[in-house]
Amino acid sequence: MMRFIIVFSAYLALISCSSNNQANLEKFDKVYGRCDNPHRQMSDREYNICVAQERAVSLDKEPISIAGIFKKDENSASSQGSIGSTINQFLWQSSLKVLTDYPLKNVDSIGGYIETEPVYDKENLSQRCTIKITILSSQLISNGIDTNIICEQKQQDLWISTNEDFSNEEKKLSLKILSEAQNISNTNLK
Amino acid sequence: MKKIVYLLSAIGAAFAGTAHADISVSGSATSTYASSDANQYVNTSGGIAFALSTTTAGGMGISAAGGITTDLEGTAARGSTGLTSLTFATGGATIVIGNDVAAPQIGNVGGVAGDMVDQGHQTINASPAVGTDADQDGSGISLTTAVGGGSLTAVYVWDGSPSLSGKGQGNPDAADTSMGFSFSMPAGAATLTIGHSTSDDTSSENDTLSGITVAYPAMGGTLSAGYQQSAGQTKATAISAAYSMSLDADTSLAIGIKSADEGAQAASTTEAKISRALGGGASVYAEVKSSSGNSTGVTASAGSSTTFAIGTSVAF
Repeated sequence: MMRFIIVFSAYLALISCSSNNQANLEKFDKVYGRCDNPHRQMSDREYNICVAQERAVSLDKEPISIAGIFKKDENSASSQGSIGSTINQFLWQSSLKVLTDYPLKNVDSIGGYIETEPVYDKENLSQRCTIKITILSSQLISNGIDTNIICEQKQQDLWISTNEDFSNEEKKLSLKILSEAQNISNTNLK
Repeated sequence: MKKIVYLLSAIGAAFAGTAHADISVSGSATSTYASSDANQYVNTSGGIAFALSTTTAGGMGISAAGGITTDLEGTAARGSTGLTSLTFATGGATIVIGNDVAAPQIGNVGGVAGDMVDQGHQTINASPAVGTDADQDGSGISLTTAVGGGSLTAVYVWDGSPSLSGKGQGNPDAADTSMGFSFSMPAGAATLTIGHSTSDDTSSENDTLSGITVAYPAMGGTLSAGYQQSAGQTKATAISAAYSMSLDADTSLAIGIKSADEGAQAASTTEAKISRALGGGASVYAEVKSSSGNSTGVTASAGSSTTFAIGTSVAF
């Protein structure tokens, strides 16, 4: 019993001086795979589901929220961005929140379209990028949003698109918007 | 240009989570054909997992998980599982307390294939092992925390046979206990993981299991090597290696080998798997396991065994 108390006390001491636990876990997920990360404790059932998701390249797939099912009617009722609009208000609000640090060029709450002013790197004013977000759905679903990042290079006073592929960055932005939308939704459901 | 895009895609990262409770459900189903030496099997199984979670006003996440399952091999659990542990997650640590806690067993990277290729496979199992509690799990507590750029997991299992004292109930004064740790850290481009665990009961000498693995990015994939050693009832060593890579966005491949010595017995195993995502959470896969060497125990004899499995799995 004494050993149990000592071990438990040591655990508490370790907790007090730690940080970045989640970030480190995700870092080692990339090395070992999420399912076989030695620092994740999973039951057999959770492991089997994880492996199935890993095979299907869908580890980011969100589980179905039962609370969300029961609150579906409430969600539907509140899914209008504004009168006459068919966009999801949670996706709309989260998109505005994620872009709050940047001046907006176009904000169409009826069509669900947001476009930022060009964003510059102060150390290189010959490059600029623009974010364009379109809300595609009245429901809070993972494919209910389309994010585009378009970058341009200045050449002889003309801004020429670089045609680079920013799909990873666009995905990160979409995930942040979805995550924030879920938070807003959960707050509203309480 | 990348700098601007990085800044753009990093915005919003500091958003704080909102306290909320939720119950979510996910599941998987698998159908597999396996051929092992002279035997054949067709297995269809699956399960549902319920994840229950909440966040306290202070930002600590608390979660539990349970499920309904049909075991892949039809030999073990069929029915409700889980709901015998709680997970507490803060920014700095994750603590699991309950009956689903296992001490880390580090050092074997060769077992890349799934359970299906174990079905019907002959027992050619000279390998490091812990005799007193093979999987070193039971009722206990585990802590995972960040230490600099590394992750440390420490586990204490105070009751290796919690079912003897009732499901969901462990005895902190039980005679069969295990404890261990694992630590992962970056080492240049490689990732190093070490682990050590020990188990003891009143009837035998303590069993220990130690191991080390190194994972290194190579040729577009990850190359891993491991060494594992056990002492106590089973005195054995094993070296293993594995290589995994993605052939394209939907197809992944892995191959692993393991060579073990246990006293006068020896065994070598080769495993390989390939899987391809079909979209919608579905995938198809093929796995193979081939072993040769000595079976352990009194009736030890030389032999070999090969199992091949193909199947499809769906994550819902």
